[in-house]
Amino acid sequence: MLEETIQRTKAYYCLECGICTGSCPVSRYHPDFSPRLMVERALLRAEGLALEDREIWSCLTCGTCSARCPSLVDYNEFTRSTRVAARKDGHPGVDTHAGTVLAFMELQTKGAGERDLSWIADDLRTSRKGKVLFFTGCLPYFGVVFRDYGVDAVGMANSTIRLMNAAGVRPVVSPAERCCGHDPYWTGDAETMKTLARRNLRMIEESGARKVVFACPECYAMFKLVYPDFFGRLKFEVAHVTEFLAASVAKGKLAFGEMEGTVTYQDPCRLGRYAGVYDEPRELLAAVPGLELVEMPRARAEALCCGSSGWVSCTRVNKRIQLERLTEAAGTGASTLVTGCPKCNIHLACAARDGDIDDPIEIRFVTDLMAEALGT
Amino acid sequence: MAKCPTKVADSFNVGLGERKAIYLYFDQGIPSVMTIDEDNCRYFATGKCKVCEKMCKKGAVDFEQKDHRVSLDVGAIILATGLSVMDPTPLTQYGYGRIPNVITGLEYERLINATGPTGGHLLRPSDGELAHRVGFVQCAGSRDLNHCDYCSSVCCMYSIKDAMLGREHDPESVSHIFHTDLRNVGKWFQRYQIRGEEEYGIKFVRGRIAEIQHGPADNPVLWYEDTRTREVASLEVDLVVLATAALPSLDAKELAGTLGVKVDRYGFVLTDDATPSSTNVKGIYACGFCKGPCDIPESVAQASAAASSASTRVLGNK
Amino acid sequence: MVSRSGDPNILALVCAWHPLTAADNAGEDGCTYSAKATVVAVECAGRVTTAALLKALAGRPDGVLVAACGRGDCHYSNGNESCEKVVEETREIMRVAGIDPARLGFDLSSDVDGRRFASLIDGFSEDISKLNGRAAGRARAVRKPARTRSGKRTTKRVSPKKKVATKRATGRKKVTPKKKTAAKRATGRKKAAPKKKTAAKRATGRKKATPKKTTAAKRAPSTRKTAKRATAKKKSATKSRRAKSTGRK
Repeated sequence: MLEETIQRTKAYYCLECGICTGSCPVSRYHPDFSPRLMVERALLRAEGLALEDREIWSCLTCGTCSARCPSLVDYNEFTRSTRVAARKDGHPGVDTHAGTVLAFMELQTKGAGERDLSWIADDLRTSRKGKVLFFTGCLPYFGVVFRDYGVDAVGMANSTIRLMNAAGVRPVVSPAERCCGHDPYWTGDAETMKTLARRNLRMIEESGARKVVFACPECYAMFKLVYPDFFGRLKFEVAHVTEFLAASVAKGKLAFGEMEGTVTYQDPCRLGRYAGVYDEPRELLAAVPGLELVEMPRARAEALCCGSSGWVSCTRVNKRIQLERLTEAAGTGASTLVTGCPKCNIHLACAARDGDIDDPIEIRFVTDLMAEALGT
Repeated sequence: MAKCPTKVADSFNVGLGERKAIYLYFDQGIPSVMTIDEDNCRYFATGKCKVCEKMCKKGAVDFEQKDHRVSLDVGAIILATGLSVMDPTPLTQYGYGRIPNVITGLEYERLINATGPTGGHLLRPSDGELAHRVGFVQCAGSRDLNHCDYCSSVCCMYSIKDAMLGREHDPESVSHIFHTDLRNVGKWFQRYQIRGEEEYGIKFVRGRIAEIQHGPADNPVLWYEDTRTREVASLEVDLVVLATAALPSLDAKELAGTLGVKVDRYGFVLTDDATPSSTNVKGIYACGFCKGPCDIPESVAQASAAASSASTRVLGNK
Repeated sequence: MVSRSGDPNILALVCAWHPLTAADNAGEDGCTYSAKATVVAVECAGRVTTAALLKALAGRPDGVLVAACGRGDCHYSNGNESCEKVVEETREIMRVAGIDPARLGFDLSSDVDGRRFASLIDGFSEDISKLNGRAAGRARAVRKPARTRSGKRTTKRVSPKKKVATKRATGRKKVTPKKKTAAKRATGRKKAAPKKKTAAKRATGRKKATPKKTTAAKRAPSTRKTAKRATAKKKSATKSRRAKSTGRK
């Protein structure tokens, strides 16, 4: 198990230079966590040590270390496959949010019926069959679970549909949709992911969609980067909503009204470091007359993670990472932090609510802001 | 030269200083001949000026001179096109160009040089203040599969030398050298490193720099893991020096194409192990960094070898 | 109510304080209720999480019923009320997931009357039967909770998470007072204790017990006397708990 992980992630290339640990946002606050030492331990073939180590669940899989590793060791994959082994070995992670999120993902593999679509606002146009499909992901679920965090996830889904409508597209929203399986996959449960993925692929095939648009970069990255590994090349195109809308703007199909303000942008790890989409969200924000984008010192590939992922780790350390990011965002002088990922939004909004910093910066999901710029 | 009204960024000082439109390439340049920079000279642009002509009492300035191509019939060619350095801007985690006071090794060389733009004082770019605390970032782009997967071979030594010079110019100077491992391969090189540590107070830290942040007062902040203590730490310094990866000179590939010389995937001239001076083309020899990373002693040795190979060919194998 | 093969599979999560006493009394009083209802005791309804309910639903029972103590009567002060919120949240998630929220029942009552408990289960069971009928009538294509799943599956899923004694109906629950089995039952209850913090604390106030899986057949109904004894034990447990616990709150 461990051997395979080492071979697959090229862990044996490690020079022990320390770039990974020096880059790791967790290691800065949590001295027990060190990507380098974990790789080193694996290279010593200390299987028990590697699997029982609780710290494998502390990794954010943000990909900063992998992006910088001079030896191209795929640390994200190292974490993921070690988690698979640890789970099998009886050392699962501790689920955050009392396990609710991962539980409703599991529920979608069995038990769940046709998704409710009554959350779609009355004035929006959607269809059951068509060329473009909007993959809503967990947003309707998040709408229930994270309402108390001041995050309106259903609103995010609605604003995405609103923007697609404005671009002249009537997207398919399917009740047969399931969770993309991102979080089970990254917490070492590939089987659940595969079950969900199969259903989604069938659902998309039945809808007749040629293009699938995602609001959540995690779903997007799963479809773009992981599904093909398991199910071969996808028979449809995938696009993050920012890519889709930026293309619509470029083609002249979508335009925005004036909006005053200064914003800064949080690059989500799945959209940025994983999928390499950095420019489109910025092009989209630039398409709003009057809106100014100021960059944080750590932007694009150097962007700091929103502090949590996969619903397995949320500790004091994660909170400190989030506060660090919020402080950095406020330091730009922007009034709003625009996120490209609903989960970044949830995590940062949660930290902002904790009251550890005075007057935290406003946090908004990109489509919420853009839909407002549409006017009425 | 003193009266020339046009100022241009000095490419020899890697853009750190300025020169006039009429200039000497550099102080020890051979041949030591003044040149007029046609692209920037006021006379060539507007048809008026000629201040330098008026000032020169010897009448040495000639605006009528034209460039001319020279054809030579030669018996052998020796390639010694040397190196260029990688632009560290793509290493976005180091913030070169974004964070002030992050400079390259070459820029440091000019700053610390008596004939350089600051007269040898280590004045940092952002505010012209003397930099006391200097961080050397080794392997900036080299030994990195994302950029240059080979070792540039000279950076460890020049960084030690630079740090020593820093202390010689300024007794308060403290230099940290962050490295993966020091590759001081050569006669007495190891002793040189120890001398740097003992006599010049250079601090060697094993751990590659992960990230540089923009700290207060334009001070760069280095983030790294000290792999010996296994601690993640940060260090605020006045100036950061990136030991950027060395590449073949920029037009080496073009030149090789013209000559029909084979180069490897990086653009280094390919030579055979048994005949290390000869290229695949008869009569064309190569030496120094254009063949691959090497330091000065090795380049000199290679140059001698290439020269003797060339002369053997030219003079005939008698 | 008479046993019917068509009865829906019900998972009843029952708070170990009032509602479980009611369940005990149901046994003592000779009440009968659907044999397809699996009663699982939880230390407090407040220990029931959204995740646990969702996981229970993933086992595809026809319905899940949560029985908590009446308002103001929670032994741990507000477990029943936090459970109410959890149930509400779960119902909302069910709605999103396309599961009829009515399949999750919730009862707040401190009534320890056995007959009430039996009719609670039967009433819920009947409601679910109606839902099943409607769902079957609406469309075959719609995936509805599988009836074919045995209660066993559900129980298995839930018990390791909840760390409570599993009491599984293997047949119609008939009330035949038997002291011996009642004692066994108590043993079975204690199996729950280890691993769960609150339970562990409580267990210290009681006899140590060897974990033993107890089926409904074995444990069947207890006498009134036993029930009283159980209550007395609870009280002493409570005292010791108060003494020891700085506890969950």
